[in-house]
Amino acid sequence: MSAVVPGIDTAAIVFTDLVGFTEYTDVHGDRAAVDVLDRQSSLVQDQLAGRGRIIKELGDGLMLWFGDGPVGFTVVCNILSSVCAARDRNEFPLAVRIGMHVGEVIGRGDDFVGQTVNIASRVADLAGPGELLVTEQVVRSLDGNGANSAFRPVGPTSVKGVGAPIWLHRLAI
Amino acid sequence: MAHDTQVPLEVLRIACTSGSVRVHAVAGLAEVVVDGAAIAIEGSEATVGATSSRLRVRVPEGIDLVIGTSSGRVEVVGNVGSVAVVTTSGKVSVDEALAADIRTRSGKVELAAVDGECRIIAASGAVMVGRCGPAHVTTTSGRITLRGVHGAVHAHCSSGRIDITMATAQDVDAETVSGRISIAMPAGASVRVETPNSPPVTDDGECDCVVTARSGSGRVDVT
Repeated sequence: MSAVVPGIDTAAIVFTDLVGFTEYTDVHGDRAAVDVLDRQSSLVQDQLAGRGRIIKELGDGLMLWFGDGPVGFTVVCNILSSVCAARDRNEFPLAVRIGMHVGEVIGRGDDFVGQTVNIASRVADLAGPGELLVTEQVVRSLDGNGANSAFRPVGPTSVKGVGAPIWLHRLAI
Repeated sequence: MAHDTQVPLEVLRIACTSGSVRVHAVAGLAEVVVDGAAIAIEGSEATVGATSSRLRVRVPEGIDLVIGTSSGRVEVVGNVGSVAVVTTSGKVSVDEALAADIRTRSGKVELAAVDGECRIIAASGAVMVGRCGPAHVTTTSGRITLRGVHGAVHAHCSSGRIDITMATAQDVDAETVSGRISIAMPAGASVRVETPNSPPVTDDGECDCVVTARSGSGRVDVT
């Protein structure tokens, strides 16, 4: 696990969210909901394998940090695949949606703050079940890795305090 | 403002700070014509950035569109290629497209005809599609109505009715926490229906497709 370096650094920030978690809790109860969260953490930790880390849990979502964009992208793709595979095997009840952005972040204790974090959160809000949405900055960071043809344009969105539009792309799977 | 280019434009990207966007695909038009905003062209791609309250654009038929606006209606008239829209609020309507990807927080979505994949994510606001290929539709509280579907369907709604009419026998996965689900399959199709109350399937047998429908508190009808 990489240590958080105080000051400004470039990183990939990822937000995940479980689709329909509130309704699932209503129907199946708190105990089942906690089991889902534990299972999600386990699936994510298995894929992180020291290449990134969980910054914090946000209800049924997670905030992840990666020091390297392309590495983070690979890990996030694996997280998405592992959740989908677990769903196909009826071992996980809910779909996950994921948003990712790369840019400058400021370490604050064990957390990160800054517009990169805000943008990544907004990107995740716009993702659908089983989707990975990324910003154009993520796609550019993958240039040369042959990944660009894997994306479909989604459109621009705006984030408060960020003047330029944030162009989004969906990983086509 | 009009632009002629040596390279045919294939993609038009529009980023609007706020206000409505109307794109009209015109048969025979060879250029993009923008009222009230600047256009930047790079290769086969054009980008329009606007802060105006009413952006009006005319484009050649078949062009791909990528559109975003914070608030305001997005209207695509005529026949376009793939269309992708992100908006916070405001109705989104599309006449005819090869594929569609629409994301909105609170607006109604109306797509008349989409030849290929149709992907819609709406927080609140009803979704109505007149004809489409494979469909992935998610709403939080808006009703989902899909007609003339000729591809597999994934429809998820937290609270609201789901109403699907299939043009061809394809798999359907529909789920709503509170609301009725109605699925109409084409006449003569051999369909296996799986609902929370249906008996476990012990023999797959021969069937054209599988319909999986789950409603937390509403009735499920598959006909």
